Amino acid sequence: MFKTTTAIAAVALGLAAGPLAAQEDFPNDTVTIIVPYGAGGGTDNFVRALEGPLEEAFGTDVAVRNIAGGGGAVGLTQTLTNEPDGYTVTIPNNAFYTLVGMGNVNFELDDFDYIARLVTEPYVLTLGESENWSDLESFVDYAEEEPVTLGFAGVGSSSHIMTLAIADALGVQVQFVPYGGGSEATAAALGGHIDGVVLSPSDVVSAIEGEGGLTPVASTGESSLLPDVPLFSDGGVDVTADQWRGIAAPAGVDQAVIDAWEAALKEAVQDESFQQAVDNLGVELAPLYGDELQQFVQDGSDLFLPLTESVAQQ
Amino acid sequence: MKVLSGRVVFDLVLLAGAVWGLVQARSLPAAFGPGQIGPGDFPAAVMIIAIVALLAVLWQDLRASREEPRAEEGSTERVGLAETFGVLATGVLLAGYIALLEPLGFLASTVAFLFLAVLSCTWFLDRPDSGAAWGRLLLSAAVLAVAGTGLSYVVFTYGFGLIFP
Amino acid sequence: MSVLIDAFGLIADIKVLVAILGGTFLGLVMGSLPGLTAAMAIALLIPLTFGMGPIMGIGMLLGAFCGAIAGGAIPAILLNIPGTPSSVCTTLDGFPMARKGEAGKALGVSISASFIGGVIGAVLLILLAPPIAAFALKFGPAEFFALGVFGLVIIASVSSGSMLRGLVAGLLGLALATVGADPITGAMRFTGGQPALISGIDLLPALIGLFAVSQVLKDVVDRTGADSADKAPQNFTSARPPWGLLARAWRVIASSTVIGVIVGAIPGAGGSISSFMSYDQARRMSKTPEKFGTGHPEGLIASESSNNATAGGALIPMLTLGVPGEVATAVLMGGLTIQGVRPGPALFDQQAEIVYGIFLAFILANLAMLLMQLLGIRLFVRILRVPPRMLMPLILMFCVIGVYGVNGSIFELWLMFAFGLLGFFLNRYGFGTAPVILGLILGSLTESNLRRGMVVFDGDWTQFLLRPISATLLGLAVLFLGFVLLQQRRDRRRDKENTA
Repeated sequence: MFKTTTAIAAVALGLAAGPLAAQEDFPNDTVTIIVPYGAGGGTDNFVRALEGPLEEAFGTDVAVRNIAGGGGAVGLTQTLTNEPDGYTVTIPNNAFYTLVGMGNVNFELDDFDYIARLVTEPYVLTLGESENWSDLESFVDYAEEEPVTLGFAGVGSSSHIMTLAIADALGVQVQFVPYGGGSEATAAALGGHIDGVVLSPSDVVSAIEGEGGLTPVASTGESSLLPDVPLFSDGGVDVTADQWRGIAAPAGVDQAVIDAWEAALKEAVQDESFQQAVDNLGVELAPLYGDELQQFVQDGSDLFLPLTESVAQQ
Repeated sequence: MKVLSGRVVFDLVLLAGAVWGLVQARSLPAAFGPGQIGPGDFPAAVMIIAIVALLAVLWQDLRASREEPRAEEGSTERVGLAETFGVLATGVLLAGYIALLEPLGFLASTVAFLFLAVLSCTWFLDRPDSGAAWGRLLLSAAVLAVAGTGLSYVVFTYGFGLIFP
Repeated sequence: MSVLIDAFGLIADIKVLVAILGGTFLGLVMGSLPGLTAAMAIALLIPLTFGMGPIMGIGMLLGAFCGAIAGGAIPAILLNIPGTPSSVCTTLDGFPMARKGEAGKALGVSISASFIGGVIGAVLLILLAPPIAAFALKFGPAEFFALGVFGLVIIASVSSGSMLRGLVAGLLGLALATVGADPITGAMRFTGGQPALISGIDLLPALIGLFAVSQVLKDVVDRTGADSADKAPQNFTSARPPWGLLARAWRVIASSTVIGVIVGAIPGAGGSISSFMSYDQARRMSKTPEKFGTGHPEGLIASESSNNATAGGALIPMLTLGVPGEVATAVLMGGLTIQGVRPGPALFDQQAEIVYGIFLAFILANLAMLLMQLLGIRLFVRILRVPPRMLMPLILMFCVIGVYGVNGSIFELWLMFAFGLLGFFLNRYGFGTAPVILGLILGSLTESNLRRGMVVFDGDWTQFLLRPISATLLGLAVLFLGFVLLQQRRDRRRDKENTA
């Protein structure tokens, strides 16, 4: 009898204190991370690795929900139907810009509050075996005269846009060949059907091993998987955008909740098993919060949006 | 002589779909350059072949229904009223389940669906004749609904980590 | 040799063995539920492997992979509902066998054919992985296009009744495959502004709708008013693996496993095609091709030995090159990566004992699958004794769980519903649903590679005809199509003579 009364009292108290408590002792309920891709993919594996450490940091349950479809469009649209209370978040990456730029979704970039960037991963220009080139310089010399074929993962994907940006910056003639995914493009380059690919290090790292493998000639950023690959910027070519993954919520989240998220994430990324998983996945731990993060998102949007819109208009 | 059998109606529906597809495909943006295949070309080709094949099918079906109207009547194709209602009821129940899955949540909608679907299937498939049998059936339907829902919820949520609304 | 002993040492650990058994069991369960595929089974188990050692986690995932592919055959045979896309072909002869009262025998044939296919696939993987991988890499746009065209000819032989109607169903599949963003330019086609359709129609809701939902609706019609006791009594004595039958069908097994391994190894071709190709080939080799589709064990053997050999084939490019061939191995590779095992040439050089451990675990998983299923046959057959009024609502519930569970999308449930109605009418009016699935799988393969080839070859379409592999495949497609047409004409003449 006593138990029931306290339970009722607790519920009543909880209801009364609801809106206030939601901000002050965030979180006191399950936090849901919507992964806008299918289970078992790179993003999903990353989030599953984050799940445990984040639960510890928050002291509540963290649920991972896969809502796939439309290259992320369905899950992101679904995320926006939730309250901006910080209990439902999703994973932002460069696909945010390309989805908006392609005009396939009815949301804008500022419909989200960006809470953190956690990991990054560069794009690597990786070439097949050829007598015409051995490094970036000889490749550019060749491709200024003769068109080359470059593959990437999907039309209008961020790797497509980066292929455009790289071709522009190098001033080379490129036939753009979209593939269904990174592994298909890698296989095509290995088989000599295309001249090279622009993909992330984890897509190509196995393909550069062994005889007749691919050669990574330049990268947009540092990668622990490919430590010896020169950067584009080393050669005076200004292409620096990286793929990234972080946390974003529907816009309008209270600052106190964002602070709670930052604190929890800062603790979670210290977790040893998470760091091990990040290492195994071949991505770089590069947390970024607050104003720096907003600037980073703005830079990405400045780079990706115009290029994507030009692809969409073709 | 009944020309508009269900068979012919379905042929016409498919044909209309193919024609619509062809019109849509023609309105897609053209290819980049000469010699290239544009977004609309492959679908258009598929639709044109489909229209030709469907016209042939339609011709076959019309001829068949004209030549042997009686054979058709006696064949398995004839569907009684009970069968039609059975399919309709099952379809409506499934549609209702899908529509209510998110508003009501997995547990409530699944219990309701299983309970009603078992009753509906019982009504159409093997209807008992006595009132006492109905009582037992109601009970078994309720048990199956609750047990089926509970078991699958536990297995999929805790075992496999799926998340339901 | 010492590597093999090291690998044995890794495997011969009770925890590893339990993990393989557990993975296989869960794979079997998930594969046999409509909606949960091999890729899904692996994806769901990945978080469970986080705390395990590499070989233990890998063993569990490999078990789930083998189990799910084999498990898909159980509902295919008993209920005409393929549990996974690769068991669509299994329904063609498996279900008619069950209808004749030979459900136990059909399961026995299917399980042992799965095992043989899986083990031969594993042996080919161990012995011939590098040359097969090198061959698979030869597949560029022209070759994929030719493979797609070659596959489309199969529509003729999986059409249950009239070939013209089968063609219509196949074209319907091809048309549906063009929904979504254009593979080359990104232009939206037939999406009606639905974000969920940007990436095209997902195979799973289509499969579940066309086969499972439509089958339930069909059963409602068939059984309404009918006496429920008129089913053929099930013969339970023949549930033992029919080794004699399998030995006599060695040619079917040989061709099916080779097709399975090679098609499985070609990255991007997808495993679901291989069972169709093997089925088609078995039919062509048979002295009694007209028996296929009526409950002929050879058709069942072709489909099941092939789709399990495909699992071994799909591991080839993943392990040797680090390039997964299709969804299930892509997910599996993600699982290995998170364990710190990065497949590729370096793995063979530096951690050969892990590679051999994977081989051994794969064979063990096949063995576990055989034993569990043989023990389970009597249990599986009991599904048929569940009264339909209870079975059908449960099937529909699993359909909803499966489709919703994968992508969490209500839209895909509606898609499943629409495909259910479509499939119901397609079956009712003799068009059949298997050609639709074949068209849906092959449509995007054919079109995207045709278009990609035009970009890569700079508009020179003669490349499609001049490259050796592609020329061979296209030539075979024409040859086989002629063969089928000729055979049909002969059959029709024979029918006329018989009726005269």
